[in-house]
Amino acid sequence: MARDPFRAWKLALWTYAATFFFVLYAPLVMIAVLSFNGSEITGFPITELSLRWYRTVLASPRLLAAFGHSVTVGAAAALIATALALGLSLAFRHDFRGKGTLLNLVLVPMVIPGIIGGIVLLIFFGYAEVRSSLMSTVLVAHVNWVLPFAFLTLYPRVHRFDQTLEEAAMDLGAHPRQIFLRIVLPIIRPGIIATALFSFSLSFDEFIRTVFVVGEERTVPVQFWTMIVDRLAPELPAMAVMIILVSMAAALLGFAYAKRADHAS
Amino acid sequence: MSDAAVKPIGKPWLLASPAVLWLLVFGLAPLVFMVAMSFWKSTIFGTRPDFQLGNYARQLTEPLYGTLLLKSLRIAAVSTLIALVVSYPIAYFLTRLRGLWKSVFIIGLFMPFWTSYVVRTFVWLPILGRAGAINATLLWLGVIDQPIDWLIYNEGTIYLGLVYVYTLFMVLPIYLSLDRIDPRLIEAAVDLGARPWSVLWRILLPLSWPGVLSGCIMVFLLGVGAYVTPRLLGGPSGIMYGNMIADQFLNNNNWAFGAALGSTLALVVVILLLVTGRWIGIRQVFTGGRF
Amino acid sequence: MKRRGFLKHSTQALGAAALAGIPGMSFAQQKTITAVFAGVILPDKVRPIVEGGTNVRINNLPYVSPTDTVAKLTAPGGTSRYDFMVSVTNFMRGPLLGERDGQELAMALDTSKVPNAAKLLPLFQDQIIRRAGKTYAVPIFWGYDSVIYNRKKIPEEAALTQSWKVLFDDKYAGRVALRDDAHQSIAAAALAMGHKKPFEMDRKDLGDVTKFLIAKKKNFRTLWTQFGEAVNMMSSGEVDAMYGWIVMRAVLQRRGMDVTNNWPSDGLLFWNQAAFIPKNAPNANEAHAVLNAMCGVEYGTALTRETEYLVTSAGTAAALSPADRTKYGYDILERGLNLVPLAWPKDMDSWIEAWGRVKAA
Repeated sequence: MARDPFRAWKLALWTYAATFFFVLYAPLVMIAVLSFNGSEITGFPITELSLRWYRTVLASPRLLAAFGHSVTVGAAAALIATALALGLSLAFRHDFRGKGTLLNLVLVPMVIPGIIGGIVLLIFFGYAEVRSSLMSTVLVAHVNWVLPFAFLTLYPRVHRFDQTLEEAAMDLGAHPRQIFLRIVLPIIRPGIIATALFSFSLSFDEFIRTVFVVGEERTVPVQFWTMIVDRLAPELPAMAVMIILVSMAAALLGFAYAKRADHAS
Repeated sequence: MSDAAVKPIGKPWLLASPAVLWLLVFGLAPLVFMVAMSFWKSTIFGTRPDFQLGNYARQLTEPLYGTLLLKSLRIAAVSTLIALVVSYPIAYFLTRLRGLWKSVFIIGLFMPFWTSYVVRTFVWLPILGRAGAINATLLWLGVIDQPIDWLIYNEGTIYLGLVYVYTLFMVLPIYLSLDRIDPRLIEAAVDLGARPWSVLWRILLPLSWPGVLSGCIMVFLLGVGAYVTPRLLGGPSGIMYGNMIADQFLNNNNWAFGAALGSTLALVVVILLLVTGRWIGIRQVFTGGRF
Repeated sequence: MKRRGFLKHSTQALGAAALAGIPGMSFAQQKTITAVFAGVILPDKVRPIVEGGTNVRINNLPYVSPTDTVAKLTAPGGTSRYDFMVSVTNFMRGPLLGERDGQELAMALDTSKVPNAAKLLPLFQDQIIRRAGKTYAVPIFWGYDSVIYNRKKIPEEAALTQSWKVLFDDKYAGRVALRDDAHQSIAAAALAMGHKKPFEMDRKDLGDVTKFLIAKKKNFRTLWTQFGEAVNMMSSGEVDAMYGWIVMRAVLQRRGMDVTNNWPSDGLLFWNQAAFIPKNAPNANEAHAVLNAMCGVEYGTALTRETEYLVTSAGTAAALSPADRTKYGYDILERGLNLVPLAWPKDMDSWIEAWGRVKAA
């Protein structure tokens, strides 16, 4: 007797998920393996096991600084883009003229190919005589890139928001700001966090636009690129592994903090 | 109980104005500039605003550009479909998890994307190459006695590379959409005797449609402009429209022509979105079917 | 943003003024110049030689390509954004000098500040970019492109090996790679086909070369895009021969591989890169000092030993032993090889398009 008619499906789903994550992480495991290759040339064959590239990364102020820069501009871009996207998503719940046009406007940065986006900003800032720096030109390029994605990610979440709660609160005489802070925000908060995290990831990984507007303070992808353009970069896998480890540590800290916050409230 | 009876909180233009301002200055202005530049003339001495239609005439007379445009649209469309099929079950899987496991798996989904794409695309070489991990394993197991050549440097590898890099873009919005669906709907349907396929087709998919659309738009737009992946993994035929654009700026100084190619791409994509928009519901989802 | 910039500048000015004003303290503040050049010509081991000798810190921006460097110069604001730039001499001659007198985008060098620029090898003295008696750009390093191949798999003495044809012969199908670069790959193919002056080809010739490349496309394992990728392909045995650079040969040999480059009888692609200072560079004095250092013997010797790229300074060539001169290739100028200077083709647009057609076929 099939007690649970969907058991086969559930098994299939779990198997599929396992395969998916295996395929997702297999290349990363490969990177980790290669990071211990003492040879100057990244890739097989592995000549000797060694930690020398980790030592190189830790002793390289440029690489460590690049990491700091990426995190800084990533956090700033995530903050700004998520805030702007939130405003847009809330606005889109209404009916108003020009909604279609506004949607097209939001998608514009995505539609411009990366290289052109970078060059156009280079020219734009050239005319405005703004010197290239992390928190001006690079931040603008990153927010530009991230905003449409932030909107497309957050809007579906906000769109499905059950308005009966809002109705009830309004009937009870609550002020719009109260409704937002105490009802809407807590419910869409996971969506906002996911969007912010996604925005950070996008910014952290952005490269082609950044290359054209970067000044002295390089981001990680730009630094990686500089390293591979005309020489070997044997320390690259080691740096990639360290980035993953740091993100894991940050995520664990985030969990611990969230758990504490949950218990407190 | 009608939608029009209750207005959501906030004044729409007030909420949207910071973003609109940003987009006008940093989003629209560059686009206008790109289109303007497409009518200029580039020589080895630089780009001058001498108005001319040559950059567009060239795209119409030389069949290469049309071919590559169609190829890019095709590859982007197929990649989007593959990514959708691959990602939807994972998004659903994530909604079935609870508590700590859920967060762990979501972070686990993000983490590979924090290694730079430079690394994530190059890593396929020591995996798929003749001397790579897969061949080495198969040789060692005795399954083959010559390395397999076709694991890499063909169109299939491009799909692999693109889907691998863009899964997060598809999973995330679908997951966010699915997560809001009341599980009681599914329970009710099952109680009434619905088969899994019906549940998917008639409940999950329609309710998660905004997420599906968002994901597809993102992956498609990214795929259409791809140029690193096809070049690195696609072998001698690994070329897409984005490569022609990149070449104008990196190997040549014909910025005006590059801008023209970019403008054509933008135009085609916008037309595509407008045409399919009504059909697959972009308008309904994002604009409520009006305006 | 303007306000923030103003604050930053005024704070810096105050700071500098304060330091300068303290009596008894002679403070040689180390200046920084913004430079654009291939990172490979200032590796970490060699950097202290230039920075130490001149007391100037060099901030080299992320490098994209020689073409992009020239494009950066011709872009709005380009002449005042950078202090020091290096690119392939033949690529920049036109844009640098501008169409007419007085339209130069580079600064006329103060030759008294760059005495080393007068001590170049004879071949490169003609390469100095001049106009109306003023010097605008000085070649500082040079090299050649050829086929890098594995001696264990491909016999060195064969006539085929000592020609570009080795990359196109069906004998080595599936074991060779070209560079994914319109300019260099079309040039190599043209030389293999027997064209003596590839960069002056007309439409018909270009069409023939395109057809040839399309026919031979199935022979290429892939077209490499990055330095590390190319080196990796040779070292892992993915390919046995490829279009390659001197530094790649150096790296592979140091790794213990029996790899060398060929000297194509149909023409060795030969190039040099020159340094110049943009017209409105903010730190021209320091840029002059750096340029001078990079024409010097100490820098030249260090660069050659570290990367195996060659420099234009006559003193460096003279300071090396004859064995070293042969090893690095300083003697190719005397060996009677067929040298083909890498030049900007008459119509680069067509070349890029042709390459696109090859890849799309």
